[in-house]
Amino acid sequence: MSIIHVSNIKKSFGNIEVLKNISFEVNKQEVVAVIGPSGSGKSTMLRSLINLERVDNGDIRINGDYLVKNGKYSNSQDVKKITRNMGMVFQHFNLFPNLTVIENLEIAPKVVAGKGITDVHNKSMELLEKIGLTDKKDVYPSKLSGGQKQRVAIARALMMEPEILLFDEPTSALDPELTGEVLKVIKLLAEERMTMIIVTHEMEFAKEVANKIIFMDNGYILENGSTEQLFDNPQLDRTKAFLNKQY
Amino acid sequence: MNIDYLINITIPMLEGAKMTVLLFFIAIILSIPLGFVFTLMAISKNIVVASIAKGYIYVMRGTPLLLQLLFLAFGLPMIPVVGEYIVMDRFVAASLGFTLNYAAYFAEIFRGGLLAIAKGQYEAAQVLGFSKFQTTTKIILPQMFRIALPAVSNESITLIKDTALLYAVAVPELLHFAQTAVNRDFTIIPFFIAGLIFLIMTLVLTGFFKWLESKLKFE
Ligand SMILES: Nc1ncnc2c1ncn2[C@@H]1O[C@H](COP(=O)(O)OP(=O)(O)OP(=O)(O)O)[C@@H](O)[C@H]1O
Ligand SMILES: [Mg+2]
Repeated sequence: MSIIHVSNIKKSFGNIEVLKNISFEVNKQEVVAVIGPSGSGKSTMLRSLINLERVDNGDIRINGDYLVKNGKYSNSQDVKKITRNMGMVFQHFNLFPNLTVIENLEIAPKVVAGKGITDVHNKSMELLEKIGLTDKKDVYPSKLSGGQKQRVAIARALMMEPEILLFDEPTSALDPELTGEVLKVIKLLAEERMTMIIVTHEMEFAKEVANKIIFMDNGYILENGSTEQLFDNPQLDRTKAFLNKQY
Repeated sequence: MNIDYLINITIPMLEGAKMTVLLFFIAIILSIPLGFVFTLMAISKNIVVASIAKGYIYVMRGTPLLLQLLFLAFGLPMIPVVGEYIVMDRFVAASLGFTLNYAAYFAEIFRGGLLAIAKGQYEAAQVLGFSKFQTTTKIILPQMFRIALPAVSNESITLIKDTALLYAVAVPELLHFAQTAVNRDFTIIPFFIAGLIFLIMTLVLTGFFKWLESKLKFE
């Protein structure tokens, strides 16, 4: 059952076409890694799914509901409802610096979802435990390392109980020795069968955690297949060249 | 010169300082929110609204506060026909002038604060489902105010000192009484006392903002 269904989306910034006819599907509980050279449109594609970018053409369906159909967006209320199924983790964390760690986790469920304080607090304590930052719950983000910030950002997204998590290069802003702790959390989520799309430059990690790989280049999806197939037996020379350059 | 003399000249000066403090609070309390309204107008997508705010800010910051005060206190009543209906008490005119002028400065300070907030903050709020209003009140304003705080602090200290311009529109304040005493008694001691009173006021203000900054450090 596909939970994300993208067909023929196109997107230009001014007169530069950044997404040129992108189509793919993601099934429930799949982990998809999106790889490709810089500027190929990975972020733009990912951001389009959660309405941070608006596509010019094509369809995006989440859980069967059209976010956009033939380039026409649903009304803003429906858009909000549809994107509510997804959470996003950014390269630069984007934690709220004016709130403590636990406030970062709890603000959205309290303010946006209007959930009860006790439920929210139980959930946030549970997630803090999971990311191993219970002892940091009352500090401000400025006092955290990059790896800690990113783990908090993941927990913050999980607080809204999304069905799908999107990651845009979650470890690219981190010192190499801090990537491990973040990847560990993502792996944990993969084991729990969270549906995830992860844009990443970490090939080893992609190999380890993803069931499916999307290779993008110059605004197109050039190759798209199971992890084994794409890494062990790439079909296109362009894919081979890209993969060779990574090692 | 004796203690009695010092007390005698200081008391009217402290009376005058009351005007200074009163004007300060009126101007601060009114110009900060008004300034923020101009900030919102200046960043509005409506070109007319934005232009009005930007024009206002430009004129208020581009002309001397003294000129604005003289205009309100003595200029307005001279306008033909309507002039006689807009004669204000000079202190009221001065309060209005200070508020309108400082609002323009605060508008610029807050605008700078807004521009300093990373785009990622809006995006994070959006994907978490925040409405525009929730994003503004819970995420953006607290950060904007924090970023603006040092500049607001500076501006407030300038405001305390600018209150001396009341002298020019003949509202009896601190300097007026100092000057009177200097002329009458042929001594410069009152000037030193006036300076000391200003220093105490700026010291209190500086301390207050230091405290506020430490409260809002987000650390
Ligand atoms: N807001 C924008 N305005 C104009 N051009 C943009 C904008 N965002 C992205 N682009 C351009 O679109 C193209 C694709 O960018 P995108 O960020 O999607 O690539 P990417 O694959 O994520 O690259 P990277 O690996 O460097 O993150 C690039 O040429 C980029 O310069
Ligand atoms: Mg990118």
